[in-house]
Amino acid sequence: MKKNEDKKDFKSISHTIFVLMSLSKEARIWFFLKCINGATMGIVYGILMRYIEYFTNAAVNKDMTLFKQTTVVYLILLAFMVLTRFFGPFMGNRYSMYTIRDIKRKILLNIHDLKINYFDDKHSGDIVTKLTNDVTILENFISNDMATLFGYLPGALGYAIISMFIMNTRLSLLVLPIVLLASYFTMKFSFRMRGISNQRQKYISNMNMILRDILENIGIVKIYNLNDHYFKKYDEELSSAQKEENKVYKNNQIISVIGFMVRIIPYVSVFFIGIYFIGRNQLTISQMVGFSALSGYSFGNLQNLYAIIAHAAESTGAMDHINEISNEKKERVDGSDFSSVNHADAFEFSHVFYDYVEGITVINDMSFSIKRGSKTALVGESGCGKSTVVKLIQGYYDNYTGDILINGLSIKEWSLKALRSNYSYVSQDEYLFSDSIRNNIMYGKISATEEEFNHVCTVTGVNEIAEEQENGYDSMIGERGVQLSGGQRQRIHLARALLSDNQFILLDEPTSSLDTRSEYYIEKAIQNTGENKTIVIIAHRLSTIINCDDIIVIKAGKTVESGTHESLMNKKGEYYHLYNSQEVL
Amino acid sequence: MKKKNKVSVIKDLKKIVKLSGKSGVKYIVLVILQSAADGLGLPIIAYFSKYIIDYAINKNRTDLLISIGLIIGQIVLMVLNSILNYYISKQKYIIGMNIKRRMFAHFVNLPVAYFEKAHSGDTIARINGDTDLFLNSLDMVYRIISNFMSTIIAVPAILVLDIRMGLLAGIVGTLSAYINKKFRVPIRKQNETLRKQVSIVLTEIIENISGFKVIKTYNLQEHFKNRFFNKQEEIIKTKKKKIVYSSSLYSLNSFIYQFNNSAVLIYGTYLIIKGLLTIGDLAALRQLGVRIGYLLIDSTESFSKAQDAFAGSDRVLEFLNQPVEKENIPVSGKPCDSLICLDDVYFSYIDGSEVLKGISIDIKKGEKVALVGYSGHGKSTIVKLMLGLYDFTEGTYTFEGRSACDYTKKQIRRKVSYVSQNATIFNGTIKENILNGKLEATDEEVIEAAKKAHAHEFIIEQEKQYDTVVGERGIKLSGGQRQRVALARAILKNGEILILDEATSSLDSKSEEFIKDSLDQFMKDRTNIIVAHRLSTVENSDMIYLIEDGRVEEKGTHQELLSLNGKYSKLYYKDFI
Repeated sequence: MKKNEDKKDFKSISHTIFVLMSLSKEARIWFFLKCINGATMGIVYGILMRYIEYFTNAAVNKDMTLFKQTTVVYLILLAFMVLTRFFGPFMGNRYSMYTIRDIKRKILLNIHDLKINYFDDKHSGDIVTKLTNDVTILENFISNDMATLFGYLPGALGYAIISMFIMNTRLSLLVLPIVLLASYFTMKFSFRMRGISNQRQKYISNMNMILRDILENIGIVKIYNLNDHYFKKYDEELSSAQKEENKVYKNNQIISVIGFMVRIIPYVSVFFIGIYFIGRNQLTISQMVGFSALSGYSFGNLQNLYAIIAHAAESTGAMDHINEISNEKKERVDGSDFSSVNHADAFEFSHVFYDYVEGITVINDMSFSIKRGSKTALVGESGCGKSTVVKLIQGYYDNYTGDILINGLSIKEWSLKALRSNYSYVSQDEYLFSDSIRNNIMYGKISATEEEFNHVCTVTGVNEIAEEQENGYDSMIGERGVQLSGGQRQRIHLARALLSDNQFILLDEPTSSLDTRSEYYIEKAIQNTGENKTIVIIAHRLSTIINCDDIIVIKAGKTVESGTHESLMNKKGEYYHLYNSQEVL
Repeated sequence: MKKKNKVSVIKDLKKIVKLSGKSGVKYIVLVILQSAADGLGLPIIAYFSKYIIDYAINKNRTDLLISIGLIIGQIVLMVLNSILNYYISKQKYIIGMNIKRRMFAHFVNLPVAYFEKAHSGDTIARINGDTDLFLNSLDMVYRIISNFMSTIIAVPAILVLDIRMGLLAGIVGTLSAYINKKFRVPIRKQNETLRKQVSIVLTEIIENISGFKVIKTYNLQEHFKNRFFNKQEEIIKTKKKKIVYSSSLYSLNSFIYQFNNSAVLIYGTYLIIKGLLTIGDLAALRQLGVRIGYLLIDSTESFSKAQDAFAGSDRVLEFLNQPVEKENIPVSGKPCDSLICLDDVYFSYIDGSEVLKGISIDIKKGEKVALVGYSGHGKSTIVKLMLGLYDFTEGTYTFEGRSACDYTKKQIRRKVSYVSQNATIFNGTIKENILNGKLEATDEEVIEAAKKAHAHEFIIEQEKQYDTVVGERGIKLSGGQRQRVALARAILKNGEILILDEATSSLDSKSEEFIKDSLDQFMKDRTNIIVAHRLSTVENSDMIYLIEDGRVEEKGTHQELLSLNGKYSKLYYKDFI
């Protein structure tokens, strides 16, 4: 059991390293160069250590000529070494710079590939953690350890150990068991780091979630005096994270003690065993001094290796945490574009069932069709499934049963990207970017001309908003448009949607939070959209939907009635009741 | 902004102590002790080599005994070292906890205005990345102290053995210190730029996450990818510059180090041949000389590396120096017997745009007062001023007959149940969200409040009922459901003043009808302030203020205002153009 786990750990650590090596071409090239550079350095440095024996030899024999010869060769090697070493840091830093860039890119691209409803269940604080805390851990590993592990250490250790065996096999064999034993224990403790690190990052994620929540709801936090409450919550997560951190420290402590012993025990034993061999004339003084220098060099590097393995395990924990996102189900990219298919029905639902989570049925055997070019309203109580319908036709969810046809073709045959390019969607709380008014609107259609832009701004009354601002359309509106009022934000949403000028217009309660002026603009804009647009509108203010071509009444995930306002009123059914309760107000 | 060119290490160290407090002092003391133990190990091993080699050559028993004694000493030191090391780690962990706590405590107490200015990405970058950098600077302090201690212990040891080698190490150290000093300022500067850029990139990502659905619906992936890549390229540019500096510095340092090593070896051998040194001496000298050279270089280098970490500490301090929200609303009040009196209030944002231009409002206890008018004309700002979320630019504020400054903001807020337009609720369960109104409330009270807000009906339909997790910003609930949870929270709080800031606008007619009754019940015996743009909801108010362009344009009851035949009646009849 335990052994298998170790094996698994080893596998995933090597996998992490493999991923870190294979990001982009730039990163790969620099990594390769740095490794070659490191390996050369490790070997040359080892050779220089070997020269300690030759110098000692000259000293013991008081041989001036030998001394001079040795010095010359030594200096040449030294010059070569210095030159090699000079370029090393440039390569290493370049490598880590590109790698970190690529990891962040990968995370961003992974975010873009996620299903559109991903953040319905997942908190964004978690991704923030991946991008900050996890990447920092990887950054430390990459910039300090990665290339050392594959360049310098193999070179240095390889050379040193081979030379030691050549110099004195018996002495080497006696020292070796100690090293192997220590290596075994270090590995064991190192692998633990992966789990600890992953666990710690999870707590940090929770901390970041709280942070994000407060950042978005700061007003309520203040008015309800929740500062202390959230502080306590944060503190709990922090303590748990720090407990894991403490485990990291303890583990590191053990590893460093083992490392220390690896350095000191063989070093000391070399002398004692060496003296024994000298006594039996199997070794000279200068050989012993040389051997001890070389063994000092290799054991020092072994200690280094252990530390790096521990870091690698820790980084794998962080990498596991990052990878969670690339292991998420991606949105499908197959399907084709049927935008120009001219089918009589723009949308059709046929016996659609959809469970939001298992057991909670939101759409319960729903069937209806919406004609091309018509203006249709979806009405019903809050939570009856209206918004879900609008989301379903945009391809938010794929785990429904029944058929959803857009332009007469099942959504499942559509390319989601092409499908979405047909919608202009306005909902109640769409996001506005921390950018200028102009850019926020231009996101509707990045290629729009100034004329088109001015047109939608006039239609939606955004021009009025811009006039009040100091920098006009170039005024920055803050994160989520925080510097604007609710009505102003909604008008910008609308302008953005209108600019995109797509054939299907979806309005999810677009006027509910509006003052009369904004509402006026929006209604005017809806009326003036072209003939060939298909409009689906969700509203609970019946006044805005009276003149729709068709009204679909939804109750508990089912269509219960449909027809025009008049026909439904005459029917005295569900719609009639809804309408009358509105009158009460 | 002018930046001082001088970078003072002492100042930076002071900052660190300032940020870490008592634990910081403990940390430093422990580090000094540990460094001493660690530092002693170096001459011990060096002398061990000398005596054991001397023994190998001369077979002098005393040499052997000394070397064995030294090894035992080294083992004792190692044990001591490990224990101290553990405590150092522990202190570091305490400091880390404290600083994060402090950052967070500071963060929740910042004024609302801060959050409207700063992007959440920047705040997160500071609380996360920069505090981590600050903790790195502790490691730097450790390295600097440890190098210093090892050096002052090793220098006498080398001088005793051979004074020339000691001098050599001195020269190397001075040279390296000089070079490193030259590099310090530019590296620090680049790091400051870099930290800023890192927070910009994080901001980009957060925009991508928050605007995720918009990006998907408008197929903006390509655009945002490019935007992100471009921002990254800027970082790459700065980093490339930094790399030139830091790599050159590193290379120069290692050159000096190699020079020192080789000099000791070659010159030492020469001295042995000349009979001025023993082989054992050289082994010891080599170890000491190499180490001292390394220590000197490393301490100067760690000063430079510390610049990176200190840049993080700067940003942490900058954040901690942001003024927190004031305890009270620093405005005096005119004598007035109403519950709330605002007189001649002006308010401008920091950028100078004037929102309120001389508002006077009078709210009597038990009244129902409405603020109406177009979106963006200052209605919500008035409420925010009353609650102390914004600071007055000018004007007076009387609360319960006394100056507002006689109360703490907490006292005033405690009396208010507030429901906003966007129904901001938190990630967590429905119950937790309602409990935010009154943290110590019982389950019965929570259910009671939910029933009053007509939230109970939909809550019990959920699989996990009150323990249903609502998702970030309540994303799993519909707009109307969110609003009802927010209302339940307000009802549970049971404040004597109820503020509804466009609170019922996103409810469907049925919920609104339901809520109307219970809300009417709740509004009884309470002072109610209603912000609305839908006039139908406020007709029966005791007083209606029509706010336009930051001024009170008209005021009176519904009937009075209609008979004025002014802007209110126009608004009422949706009379445009």
